[in-house]
Amino acid sequence: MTQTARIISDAITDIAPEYIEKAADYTGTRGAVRVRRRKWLIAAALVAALLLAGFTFAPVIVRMLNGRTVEWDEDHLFSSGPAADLAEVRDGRVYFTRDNTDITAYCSENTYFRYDFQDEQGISHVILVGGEIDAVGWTEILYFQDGRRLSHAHLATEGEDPAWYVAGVAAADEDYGYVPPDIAGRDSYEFQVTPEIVEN
Amino acid sequence: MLEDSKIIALFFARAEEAIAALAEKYGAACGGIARNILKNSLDAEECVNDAYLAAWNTIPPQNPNPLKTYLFRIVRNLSIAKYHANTAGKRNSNYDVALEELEDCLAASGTVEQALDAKELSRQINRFLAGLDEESQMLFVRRYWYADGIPDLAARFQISGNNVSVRLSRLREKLRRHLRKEGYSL
Repeated sequence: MTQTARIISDAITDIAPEYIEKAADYTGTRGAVRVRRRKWLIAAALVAALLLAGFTFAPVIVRMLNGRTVEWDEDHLFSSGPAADLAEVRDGRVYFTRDNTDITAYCSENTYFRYDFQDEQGISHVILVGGEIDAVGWTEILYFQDGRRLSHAHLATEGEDPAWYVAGVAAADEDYGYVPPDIAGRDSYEFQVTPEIVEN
Repeated sequence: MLEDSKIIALFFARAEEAIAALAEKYGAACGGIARNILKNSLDAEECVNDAYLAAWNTIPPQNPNPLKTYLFRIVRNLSIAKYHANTAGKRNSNYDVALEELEDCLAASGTVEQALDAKELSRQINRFLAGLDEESQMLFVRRYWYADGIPDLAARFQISGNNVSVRLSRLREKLRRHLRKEGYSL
């Protein structure tokens, strides 16, 4: 190591602690200030059916990466099948189950792993995995080409949405140009989503 | 997970649960720092364990606040020391790449040794950071203190790898200008 490199290394080591502290959990500002999105949550391992009378859009049947099948037309939304976990914790490490990647370094209270994928119907899927090792959660979000959006979240929380989830969803919404109904002003989308959930 | 104050209390009580609590709360982050520098999981684990021991040996009398920064600094120092002990002549970790970026930036004229010592350079870097927006501060610190790789930074900051590289390059140029403005002959 050169003398110059040693000086620089020592100098960097002594960066003020407040920066080190703040940087430990810092995740960028892209999703920091966002309007809370209305999302359609479908509980894991349940069948969800939702009446959507009055809507007009092309029917679609889509397979989510988590294994669930969603049928969605202008009258109803029907989601069935057990949802496979998209993240697993093994030996203190977090793995993305689709390709068994070790994603531990990406996951914390405020940070997340993200995987984007477009299926043959042109529907974009975004997987987010985040949280501390004892509270790892994931979500799959589908962005349809006509502007609709569907998500399935499996979150290890009983209260507010985790920070990683809020930031990740906001960033994905922005990337795919999703405009929530209350901002877009599409009256036909203004309704309370209350899926009827029936246990298998 | 325990609050830091409770973990510190365990250290002061000489209760071995303190180490377990420390590992549970900060183990993953410590491992990440060590692996960024060492690129070797076994060495990284050893450094993290040594850092726990160092914490055990120094608390008390130390009562660090924040505990996280104190622990991370120990991990980083131990990892750098081990890295140099292991890899004389072999340079390939995120830490090396990050260091070389700054070396190229600061030592353009080859006169850093004469112009600055580490303490003065550190003071200047802190002043430089104080003048940046928060995201730039964090990008600089994650790259050069935590030795995060470009893909990790891209994921953390939700920007492309190319964007990360460009922004870091601009930050280094800003740092160079800052030092020149402060009268250092670079």
